[in-house]
Amino acid sequence: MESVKYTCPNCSADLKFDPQQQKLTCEYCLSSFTVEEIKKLCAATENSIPQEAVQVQEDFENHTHLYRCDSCGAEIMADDQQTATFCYYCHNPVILAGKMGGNFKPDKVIGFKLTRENAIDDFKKWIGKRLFVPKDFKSEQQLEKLTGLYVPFWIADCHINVDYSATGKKVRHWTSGSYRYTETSTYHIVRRGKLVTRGVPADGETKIDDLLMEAIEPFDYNDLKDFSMSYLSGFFADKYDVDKTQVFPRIRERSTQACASLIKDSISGYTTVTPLAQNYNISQTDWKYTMLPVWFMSYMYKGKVYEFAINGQTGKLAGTPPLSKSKLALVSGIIGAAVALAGMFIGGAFTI
Amino acid sequence: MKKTGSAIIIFITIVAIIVGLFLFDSFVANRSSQNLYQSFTDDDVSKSGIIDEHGLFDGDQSLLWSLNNEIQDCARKNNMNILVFLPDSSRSRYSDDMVCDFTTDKLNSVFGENSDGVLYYLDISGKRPASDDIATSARANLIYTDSICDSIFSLLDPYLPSSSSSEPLDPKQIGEAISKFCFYISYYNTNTPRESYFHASTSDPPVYVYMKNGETYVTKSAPPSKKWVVLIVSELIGALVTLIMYLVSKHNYKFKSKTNPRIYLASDAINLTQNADIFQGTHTTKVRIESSSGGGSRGGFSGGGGHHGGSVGHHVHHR
Repeated sequence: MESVKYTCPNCSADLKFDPQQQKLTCEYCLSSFTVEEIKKLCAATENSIPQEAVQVQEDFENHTHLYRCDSCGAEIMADDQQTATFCYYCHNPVILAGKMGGNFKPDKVIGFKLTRENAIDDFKKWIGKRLFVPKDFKSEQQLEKLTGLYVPFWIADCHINVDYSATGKKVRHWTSGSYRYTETSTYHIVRRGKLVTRGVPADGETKIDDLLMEAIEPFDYNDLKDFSMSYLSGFFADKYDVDKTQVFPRIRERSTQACASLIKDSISGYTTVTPLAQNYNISQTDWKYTMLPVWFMSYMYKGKVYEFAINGQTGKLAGTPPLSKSKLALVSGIIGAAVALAGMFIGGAFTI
Repeated sequence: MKKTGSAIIIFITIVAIIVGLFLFDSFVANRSSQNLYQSFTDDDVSKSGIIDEHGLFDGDQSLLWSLNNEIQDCARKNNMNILVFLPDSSRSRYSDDMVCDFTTDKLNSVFGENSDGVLYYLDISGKRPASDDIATSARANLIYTDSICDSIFSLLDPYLPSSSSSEPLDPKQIGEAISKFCFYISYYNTNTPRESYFHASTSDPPVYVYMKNGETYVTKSAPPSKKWVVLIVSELIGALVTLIMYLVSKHNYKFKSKTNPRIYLASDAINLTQNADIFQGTHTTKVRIESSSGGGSRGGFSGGGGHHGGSVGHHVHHR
């Protein structure tokens, strides 16, 4: 299968996308180019994406593919999903062009804004606040595992017809003479109309925990750009393996939750609200297939894999670090002992 | 194999903690401050008797002499100082607190602080209602508890004139009451179980009275039995706090929370064609409020107003 690379027009070295400058830079001659410039300069490369991927050599049945590195000629093995990776031998970035063709060509992309150093700093600050992580978890070796990955996302704009009705009751109590009065006023609450949710994301990859991806939202869609493979240079990238029909239930659920939240906030002043009808029907959905930047790290602790993700655009971090039970037990024990000593002191056990 | 090893380590740790806590508790519980107790001796017997401030027995010195002897015999028999005080009319304005302050001072000044003693303030001052008080010191606090003193007061009431009576006081009647008092002091000393400890919280400093190995102790520190309870309860609370904190922290150790999807709602595209709260009606119910009679309050009397030395407790009774 063909792979493509972006080379420096000045010195022919490989170009990598620099999140800080939002440009492709050459590490050798220090030249830098905007994505637009590269699109023009490397028009041949950009247009080289075949509509149907041509598999040159198939290995490991259908799921493992071999590519040739354009820098050193080494053969690179990649799985079904990877669309951008690095050569094992020369460590140059390799974009697996064949994977980005046809339906797998993203519409939009948000380039990495957070450099690896920024991501490491953010991670160190975040993990510094966690008391009960194992010692070696904070080690530099661990931080080396941080990987920049473009995650395939389905982003949906949903047009929703809302039909909500409920019975609301306002209850008032007062006492007069030897009687206690209760006045109940009943209202019929109606909310009907159209709402729109814009940019509800759902990752299109089964390997990644959906909750982890939802936890690092939101992405700022003002930075959405038309997709260019040059953004992938220097990072890993996957193509989707969950199509939009499969992610639609998640999109529908989140859109419904958003609408229900709005409707709930519009109803106030009632003692009780009993819904009679809650219909949120999506009449139209507009999709964008988008690559979004995420810094990933995984950590194996006592046979269990712990995953962390940092939003490559905003720096928002999520993940559950491993819990050092001995540390937690020690801290809990110290607090328990302090409480016990306070009790003994107050109870006069130490008075002599 | 690895799991068995860690289970053994946990078991050994728990056993070590329990043994350590037991040793700690044992050390703390048995540490006590200086014993302030003044034991009763035969030389103290002469201090027991009647202080007749009222002059009730002025006309019958032989009766007074006889009663003094009876009280001293009772003191010798019970190894305890006993004093009966008969106040004059100058104390008829004393409040209960003032009576308690007075009896405490009197008990301490006559027998010394923290010595075994009972002072019976038999109110014949003319105060209405009369405020009798039994002030107890040191070991007497463990014997003559509130309930015992209430019993003594009840048993003496038939022998004493009512404070509302306008009849002149009869020395023989009062003398008979004093004799009965001595009898009940001896009776309850031999026939009732001792309290495990007494805390004189209004004393200055507050002290505890308790028995240990047959000895009486008056100390600022709590008795070992109370300390054991405090230590064990505190340790159980500490263990509970540890367990709760461990489990709650473990349960809440998640740093992945879903982003609220409300942020994706386009504020410029909210088009509610119907947004109405339609009033349908009101109904009112009324319920009669059940009248309830207010409960009475019972209150006990708790010591005098001021702080005094010693280990004195009080039991006031109104006639």
